[in-house]
Amino acid sequence: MVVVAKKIVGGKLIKLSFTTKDDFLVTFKLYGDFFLHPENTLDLIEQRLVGVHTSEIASVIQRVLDVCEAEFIGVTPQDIQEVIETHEVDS
Amino acid sequence: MKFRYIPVQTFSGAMNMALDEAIMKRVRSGESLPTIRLYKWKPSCVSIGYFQGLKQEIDEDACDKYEVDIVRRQTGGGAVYHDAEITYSLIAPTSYFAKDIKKSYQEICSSIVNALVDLGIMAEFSPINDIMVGPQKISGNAQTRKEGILLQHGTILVKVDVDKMFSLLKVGKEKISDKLVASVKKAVTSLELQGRSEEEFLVAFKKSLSADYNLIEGDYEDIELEDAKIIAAEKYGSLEWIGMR
Repeated sequence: MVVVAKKIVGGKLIKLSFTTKDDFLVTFKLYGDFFLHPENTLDLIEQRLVGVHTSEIASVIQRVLDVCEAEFIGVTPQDIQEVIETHEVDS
Repeated sequence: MKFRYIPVQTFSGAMNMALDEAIMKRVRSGESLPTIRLYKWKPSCVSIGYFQGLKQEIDEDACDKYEVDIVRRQTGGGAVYHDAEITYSLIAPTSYFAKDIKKSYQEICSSIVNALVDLGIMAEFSPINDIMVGPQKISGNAQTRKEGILLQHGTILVKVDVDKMFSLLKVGKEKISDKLVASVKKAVTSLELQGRSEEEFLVAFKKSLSADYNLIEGDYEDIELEDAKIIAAEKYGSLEWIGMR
C-alpha cells in the first residue's frame, strides 16, 4: 500500500492511501483538509475508482462529480491522478 | 436579512457540533430564524475535518493525558485545537449567500474582517477560507450546505499555544524541531498578539454583524438544546462517527 501526502499548490493537503496492480487501482482512500460538496460524494468516488486504470482516474472522478452535481474545493481530479501516477508502486 | 444572534455560551465539543445540526433542522423547517451563534469549548477540544483520518491527525493518548476532547466536524477542512478562541456558527438558507461557495466564504467572512479592521488590525480575507493579518492566520472557516441550509463556522484566535497544539496533533515527533515550532508560531497570530482583547473583539463583531444583518438577540430554544443533547450522544460523541475515517 502506498500512503502519500501532498499539499496542492494554491489548495489544500491531501493524503492518499492506495494500491495498484498493473496500473489499475485495487484500493483507494482519500483523506485531507479539502472540501467536497456534498460531503458524502467521497464514498461514491472511492467506490467508483476501484478497478480503474490510473490514466482514467481524473475522468472517473469528474464523471461522479458531474452526476452528483458535486464540487471539490482545494483539490482537483487531475491533482489526485497526478499524485497516484507519480507514486504508484505495483503490488 | 433577519438573524437570531446568540451571544457566547460554552459547551462541550460534541454539543457544539450537535447544536449546529439541531439549529440547521429548525431553520430548514422554518421553526427557527437563521442564526448566528458564538461559543466556546469546555473542555478544550480538537476538532478534525470531515475528510481527515483520526489516527493520521490526532495523538489520542496525548488528548487523553491532557483531558482534551476529540470531535469530528460535519465540515471539511483541517484539524483545529479549540481553546482560547471565539468560535461562531452562521446557519441560514443557502439562498441568502452566493451560490459560488468560494464567494460565499468571502461574503460571510467580511463581517469578521470588518470587525478586526475596526479594532485597528489589518486583516484581509485570504481565499479559500482564511483571514490573515499580513502573512499570519488569525481565523479559519469551514462550510457545508445540506438540503438548502448553509452552515459556516469558524474561529477567531484569542491566544495561541503552538506547543500545546503540537503535543495533540500527529506530527511525527522526529519532525517537531525548534525550527518547525518557530515557523508555525510565525504563521499564526491572535487578538492578544495584536494587542486586543476578546471583549473588544466581541463588541466590534456584534457591531459589524449588525451592519450586515438585522440581528435579533436571542437564546437557544429548549427543544434545540434537547435535540442537540440526543445528537451529541448518538453522533458527535460516538466512536463510530469520530473514527469514521
